[in-house]
Amino acid sequence: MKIKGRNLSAKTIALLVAALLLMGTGGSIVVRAALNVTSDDYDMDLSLEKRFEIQLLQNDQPIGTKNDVASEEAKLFTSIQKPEPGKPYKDDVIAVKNNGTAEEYVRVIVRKYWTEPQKSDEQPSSDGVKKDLSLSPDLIELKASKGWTVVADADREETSVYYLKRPLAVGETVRLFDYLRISPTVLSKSEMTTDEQKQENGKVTVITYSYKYNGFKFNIEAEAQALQTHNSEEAIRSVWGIDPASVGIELVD
Amino acid sequence: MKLSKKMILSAAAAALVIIATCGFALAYFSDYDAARGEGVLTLGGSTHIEEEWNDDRKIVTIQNTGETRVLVRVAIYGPAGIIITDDENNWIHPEGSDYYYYKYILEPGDTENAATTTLTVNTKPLKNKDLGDTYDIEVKQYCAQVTYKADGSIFPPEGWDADAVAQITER
Repeated sequence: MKIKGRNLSAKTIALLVAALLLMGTGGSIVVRAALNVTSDDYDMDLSLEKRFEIQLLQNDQPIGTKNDVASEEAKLFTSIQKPEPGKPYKDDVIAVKNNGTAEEYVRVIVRKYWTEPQKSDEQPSSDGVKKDLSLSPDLIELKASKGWTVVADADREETSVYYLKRPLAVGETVRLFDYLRISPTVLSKSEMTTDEQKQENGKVTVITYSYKYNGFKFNIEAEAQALQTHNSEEAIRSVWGIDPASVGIELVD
Repeated sequence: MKLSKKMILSAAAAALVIIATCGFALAYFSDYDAARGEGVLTLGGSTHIEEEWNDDRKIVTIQNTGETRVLVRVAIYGPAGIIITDDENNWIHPEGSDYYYYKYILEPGDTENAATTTLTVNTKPLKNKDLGDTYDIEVKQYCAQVTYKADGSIFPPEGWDADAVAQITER
């Protein structure tokens, strides 16, 4: 082979062919990479247009850490001063609101547990609370409002998950609990003491029952989670790890 | 040597592509918000009974000295002839029952402001009877912390008259 009067050796030709082949392959890699980059941009655009935001409300007021990240304050069911056994407390309306710009699926992870009263002569434990596991979290009843499915966590008794069965529209608020109720079963463990007192005109016998769970504190934690409705079945399976049909979630996409 | 370097680079590029693709699959749009709540249980109730003699009358006063709201019932036993009066019409007395049920929930309060309710025992009719030097008037008073059923109605304590309890209201 001759180029501008120069003779090329077979070795040089072989190298040239190899170089061209490599360039060809390299070129196709570039094309594929370009396609990937395009796809990337498309997704980024979507995130700019759609904002996913969920908010926990009590009586229309935001109470979540989103509103006040630093606050450790207990803000759920604040109207209940002294819960009476069995009474359904309905006045505090706990709800979730879609504050974003796209409809979203919602679930709320609820943790309920009891903590013992701190005795005056006792040093507080490192985290300030002492969970009492002998008292069942089921005695803290949080009745789900219409439209939610409650799934108990098989491994952790204190956890249950509330799934909203339909997507929450933009700007929509939905009530989460109809009421909070402390089961009257808390009164089941009691001790009887008798005290006799002599008085001027006779005697008085006082029989008193004291209850084991007197002074115990109930604790509720709620975490609301929102998820895209696009590609819904896959999203729910991947992020929440459940079959949407098993909790009655209606799929939109 | 050169070839193997290229192979390593290609493998790395392929790995990057795989990681990038997996990344897309997991990048679902989501958000969260959290809150907590708590409350302290106060269980049990306590009342104080005061019996005061005023001529032929024994005035029985029940005071809520505890921290919780309570239901109250009273039974009074004495010689035949005594008359129990409920001057303020505050009690429910089911027919044939020994017990008088206070028809309101007795609210807690501090010692001076604690809610009270009274029943009067008139012993005047006993005057003409020969009962000896002394006779007993026994007052049995029960209190129970207000407890509710899931439907919001008051749960009758064990042994209490359910119909009477159903009539108890907040003052």
